[in-house]
Parts: sequence; C-alpha cells; structure tokens
Amino acid sequence: MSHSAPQPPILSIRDLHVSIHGRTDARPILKGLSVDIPRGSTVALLGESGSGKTLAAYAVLNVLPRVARLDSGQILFNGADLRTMPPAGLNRVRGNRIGMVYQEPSTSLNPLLRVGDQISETLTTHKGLSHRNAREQVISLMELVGIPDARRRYSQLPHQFSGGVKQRLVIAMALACHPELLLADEPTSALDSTVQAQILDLLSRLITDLRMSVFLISHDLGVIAALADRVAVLLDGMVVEDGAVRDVLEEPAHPYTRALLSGKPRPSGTAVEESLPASSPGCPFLRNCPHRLPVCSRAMPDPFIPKEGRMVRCFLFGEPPGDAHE
Amino acid sequence: MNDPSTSLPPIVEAVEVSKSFSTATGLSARVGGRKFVQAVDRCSLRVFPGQSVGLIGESGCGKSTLGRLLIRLETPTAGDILFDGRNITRWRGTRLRRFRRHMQMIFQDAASSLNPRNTVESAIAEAVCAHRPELERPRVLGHITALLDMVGLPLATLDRLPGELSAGEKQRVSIARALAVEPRFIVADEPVSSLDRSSEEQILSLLATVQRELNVAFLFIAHDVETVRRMCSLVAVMYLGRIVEWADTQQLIATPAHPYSRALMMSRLSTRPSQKTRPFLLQGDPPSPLEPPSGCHFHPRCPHADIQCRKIVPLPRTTADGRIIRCHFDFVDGQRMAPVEVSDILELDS
Ligand SMILES: Nc1ncnc2c1ncn2[C@@H]1O[C@H](COP(=O)(O)OP(=O)(O)OP(=O)(O)O)[C@@H](O)[C@H]1O
Ligand SMILES: Nc1ncnc2c1ncn2[C@@H]1O[C@H](COP(=O)(O)OP(=O)(O)OP(=O)(O)O)[C@@H](O)[C@H]1O
Ligand code: SF4
Ligand SMILES: [Mg+2]
Ligand SMILES: [Mg+2]
Repeated sequence: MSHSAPQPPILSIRDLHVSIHGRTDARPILKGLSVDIPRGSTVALLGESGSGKTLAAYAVLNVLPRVARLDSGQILFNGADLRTMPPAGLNRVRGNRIGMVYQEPSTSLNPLLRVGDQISETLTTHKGLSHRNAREQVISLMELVGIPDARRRYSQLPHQFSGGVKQRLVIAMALACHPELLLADEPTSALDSTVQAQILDLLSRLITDLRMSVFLISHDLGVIAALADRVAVLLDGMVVEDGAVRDVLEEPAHPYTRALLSGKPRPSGTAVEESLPASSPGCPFLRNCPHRLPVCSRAMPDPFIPKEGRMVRCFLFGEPPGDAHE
Repeated sequence: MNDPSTSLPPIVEAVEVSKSFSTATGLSARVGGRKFVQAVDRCSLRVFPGQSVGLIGESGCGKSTLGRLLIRLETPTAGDILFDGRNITRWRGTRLRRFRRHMQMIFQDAASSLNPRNTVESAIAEAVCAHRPELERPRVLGHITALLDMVGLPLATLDRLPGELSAGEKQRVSIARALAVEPRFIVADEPVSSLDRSSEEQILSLLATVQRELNVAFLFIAHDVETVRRMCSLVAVMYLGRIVEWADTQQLIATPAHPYSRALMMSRLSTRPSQKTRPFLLQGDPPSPLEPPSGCHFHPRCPHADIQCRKIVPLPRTTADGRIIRCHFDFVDGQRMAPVEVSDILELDS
C-alpha cells in the first residue's frame, strides 16, 4: 500500500446489519460486517456458501431483494454515505462509477434481448454515447474479455452462449463504463483455467492501468491469491479475520480460517457439539473449534490487532480477557 | 484405454456424435447469412455402470452440449447415442420422457433450471412423485427431507423459492432433485463450481457415495481438474468440439500429452501467494466456433504447430502409453518427437 497521505477508502462498509424477513421469521445474515477497500486495491471477501457475500454486494448497490432489510450500518463511497444519497445521485454512481459482475449471469442478462444491446445500453444511458459508437465500444469490450467473433455474436441471444462465455459477457457489461470500483461476485467461477488466467490477467491490468479498485467475492483461494491484496474472512455475518492476502492465506490465525483453508470447517457429529446449547452468545465457531476455551462460550471476542493491517477476533489471540481463567 | 474390469456393456455410449446449432437470429440471419456452430464434432465416449468419467476443456468448447446429447436433451445432427445397449438417438416424446428417469442432469446454471415459482419442496416433490407415483404424501415428505439432509441444506429451505437462495444453495437443490429419481446415469455439469471448499468437499463425497453404493454412473463436467481427480479415474479433454485427449486422470495431470491439455494443466493457479508466479497464459485468442481453424483446431495457438497441423485434421489415435489423443505428434518431456506416420492419420480437411 502507498505511504503517501492517507486517502479515504473508496468503499467503506461499516457495521452493516442485513436480515431476511421470511413469512414467519426474521433471520439476521450480516451482523456487523465491516470492510474497507483502499483506493486502487483489491480486497477479497471469503466465506462459505450462504454466508451473505452476495447480499453484502447487493447492499452496496442498494439492490437488496425485497425480503432483505438493511437494519443499520454505513456504506461510504469516497466518504459519502450511499444510504443517504438522493436517488438521482445514487443512480449516477451505480453502473457508472461502480460496476458489478453478477455471480449468476441469468440475473443480469435478459434472455429475450441481444447480448450486445444489453451491454451498450449501459453506455448510452450512463455515458450518453450514440448507439453507433456504443456498439463499436461494446464489440471491442467483447473482444477484450476474449469473446471471438464479437461483431457477429453481438446480436445473439444469451441462450446461444455457453456458461463461461456468458460470464465473460457479464464482466464486459460491468467494465463498460470504466468504473472506479468493481464489485466482482465470483467472476471466474464458471471458467476453465486457461480462460480464467486470461481474465485474471485482464483484470489485473485494468486494476493497474485504470487504478480500478475491486471488491472481490470468491471462494476460490487461487483466484484470491492471484488477484487480491487483502482478504477478509466472513463467519456468521462478521469479519473474523482480515489482513494481507499473503499473511492470511499462508499463516491463518483464526481457527475458522485455518479450517476453511484446509477445506474442513465443519467436522460433523462430534460429541462436544451435542453438549453445547444451540445458540450461545459466544464465538460462532465454538461448536467446531478444536482450541475452545471456557470464555469462548460467553462472549464474542473483540477485534485484536496483532500487527498493523491485520485483525483477528478470537480469544486465542491478544490479552486474555479478565475472566478467561476460572 | 483400460476400461473398468467389467464385462458389462457401457451404460451410455456416444458414437461419433456431432451437434451443430444454427446461429440465425433475426437481422443477423439476413446480414451474415445462415451460420452454424459446430458445438460437438464427432465425439466418441463410453461410460460404464458405476463409473465416473470426467470432461474438462475450454469454456464454450461443447462440454454441456455433449452432456445434453448423452441424455438426449438434444438430438445429435450425426452419430448415435446408446443407452444400456439401446440406440436412443431418435427417441422422442413420451417414450423418451419415461426413459429419462434413468438419466438425469445436474445443470450448470441451477438458477435457470429451477422454476422460479416453485418452492424447493415442490421442485423435489415433483421429481420424487414422477419416479414413485405410489408413494403417499408423508413418505414423499420423508424422502425430500432425507435428500435435503444429504446435500446439506437446512429444513427451513423447504418452503423457499429459488430466488430466495444463494447460488450454492440452488446448486444443491438441483443436485437433490437429480438424485430423487434414483437414476443410473447422471451428467453433473459443473456441480460444485459455485461452492466453497468445504461445501464442495461435502457434495463430492456425497456423489462418490451415490456412485459407489447405488452404482450410478457419472459424466462429471468440470473446469477444474482437481475436482475431476477426486471423482474420476478417466478424463476426456475437449477443445472446440473435439475430444483431444482421453486418458487416465493421474496420467493426464502428471504428463498431459496433447499440447492443449498441457496448457490447461499449466494455467492452474497456485493458492500460495508467496509462490505467485504469473499463471501461464495460453497465447492467442480463443477460436471462433463459427469459423473454426482448419486442420487441427488448436494450431493457431499451439507452440508445436507445423504445416500438417494447418492442413490435416488429426484423427484419434492410441499412444504407446494407452491414451487416445488427436495430435500429429508425440511428445517426450514437452519436446516434440517425429510426426506420427502421416498415412496412418491422413484425412484431408475440406
Ligand atoms: N431473496 C432472498 N430471500 C430469502 N433468503 C435469501 C434471499 N437472498 C438470499 N437469501 C439467503 O441469505 C443467505 C445469504 O445469501 P447470499 O446469496 O448472500 O450468500 P452467498 O454468501 O453469496 O452464498 P454463495 O456462495 O452460495 O453464493 C442465504 O442463506 C440465502 O438463502
Ligand atoms: N442453443 C444454442 N444455439 C446456438 N449456439 C449454441 C447453443 N447452445 C450452445 N451453443 C454454442 O455451442 C458451443 C458449445 O456450448 P456449450 O454450452 O456446450 O459449451 P461448454 O463447453 O459447456 O462451455 P462452458 O464451460 O462455458 O459452460 C458454444 O459456442 C455455444 O455458444
Ligand atoms: S496437431 Fe499440431 S497444432 Fe494440433 S496440437 Fe498437435 S502439434 Fe499442436
Ligand atoms: Mg453468492
Ligand atoms: Mg457448459
């Protein structure tokens, strides 16, 4: 990271609470998520399937599904709170200064419209380009993300593309307006390794050339290692560890991160698990943690900063709390 | 190729199947003329009962289409599909629909394969009831619950709509649905691509159990050879509609024979940031499926391409170590050897 005067992060998510309101119950999903994305850097959010990664990105864009409620928290874009921004300003930011690569191409591609027109629409609305100019730009964007024969495929419908090519179309759509911030939700999860390497190479060039900042959502450690500068680990709606990618992936501190990297966060059916109450106020990893202390079931550990730029929330680290030993 | 030690006939077999799509849509049809995408080009493949075969290759090379052909969700433009010895290439209508309970697909795009207005419960119930119409309601529900449990979804998922699930949760619902009919053959199209490591682990071991205990055969489509390694002893590598290598999975990983397979293996990412070597970049653009290169489809990007590669389509041939590859050359430690006898493989590209 640079050593010049501190700039505000391009995106700062602070203490975000999001819950899902079902027909009968409300389920908290994000319970105080905080992540900063310094300008020009790539920060990854790593978490299990269903942990709320996509909802976090939707909250930033203010496109949460109807049943989801943003209960509290701040979302600062260049220091300005997107939640209190008037709709007109928000629309200008969204799609123009913030681009999103959606995880499921079907959520962003209309099956009935020609793919090229769908991408060029963002250019005509946000950049005021003529249809003709937009079309040419879209064709070169499609080529940029490695879609051969772009001119001809401009007029095809989404179902005529393979899964991986659709994902590249979605990337092209997100990049169309040269956003300052890219929210990339599993951007390469449908791609084979040769195309993935090309897309990652393209993204890292854009990150450098355009000083683009990226909020990367991924479960793929290889992608995170290749692209991200920092990584935040999401567990039970909160970040339990974050730091430089190198530190976190090579020397994970939190037992959950360690388990996640080894692919086994949930050993099933252990005897301890049975003996613990279903919902306890303590650490969310308690039931599966091999290093559990007595204090772990009583409170959520506070963030501990072992060194600058690294954070971990676990009682194994930092000052033992007053009542750790009983 | 060493087939499994069984005298049983293959459960499913593709014999030189091809599939082309017309790309005509409205205006482009008039401007550019009618164009065809040769999505699958004379591919042959066999899967034996209880066996699991991997299929990997470049995005857009025709993996899903080949999978759909095998279970007759598409009709081939040439070649034959045999299921359990029966030629089902031209089957249609009710007969095919009834037969479908033997062969299922776990779709790559779970989101669009689930009806957005059907709850998880009714999506799975539909499959269970189609398969066992005699079951009474409580038993059906019992079945559904067991399936959900197998794929690691909480019971609360039952009355949710697909739109109310995360990507990985949808993927698991579609796995539960495919398993519901107890098929004999499953095309699993990228079944774990949107799952984190631990969920992936869980699903792969579930599929491995199903394969072992219920003797279900799998065509396992993936873009990551690691997941294939877990499930399959044999793997086919596809490039632009053609199967270019067919080998033992360990063998392929250790010493890929076809130049494209080698590129595919070399471009895998390391998960250790300190070993952040720049991933290998395959040169050149992916080819256009509308105008595939002449001769060997890989020649414009192949570091070993020679004159015959541009002119002559390499036909499948068996190598000394028992794989089938489509390349004019043999390689030792990445070095090209003398060309294979051309008269053996001659077939002029028209
Ligand atoms: N529209 C919705 N209605 C009800 N529940 C929802 C809705 N969208 C998401 N959820 C639930 O919220 C939780 C978080 O979902 P989200 O899509 O953010 O997960 P994710 O971390 O992106 O997972 P994945 O890696 O599988 O994509 C999940 O349990 C999901 O079922
Ligand atoms: N209905 C269709 N109409 C026209 N072209 C199609 C159709 N379906 C597939 N194609 C084309 O056929 C080719 C093979 O597609 P397929 O979906 O089988 O690829 P794939 O190997 O599964 O790719 P991916 O890994 O990206 O999913 C692609 O070029 C695709 O654009
Ligand atoms: S046939 Fe020629 S171009 Fe094709 S893979 Fe072999 S060496 Fe390369
Ligand atoms: Mg998601
Ligand atoms: Mg596919």
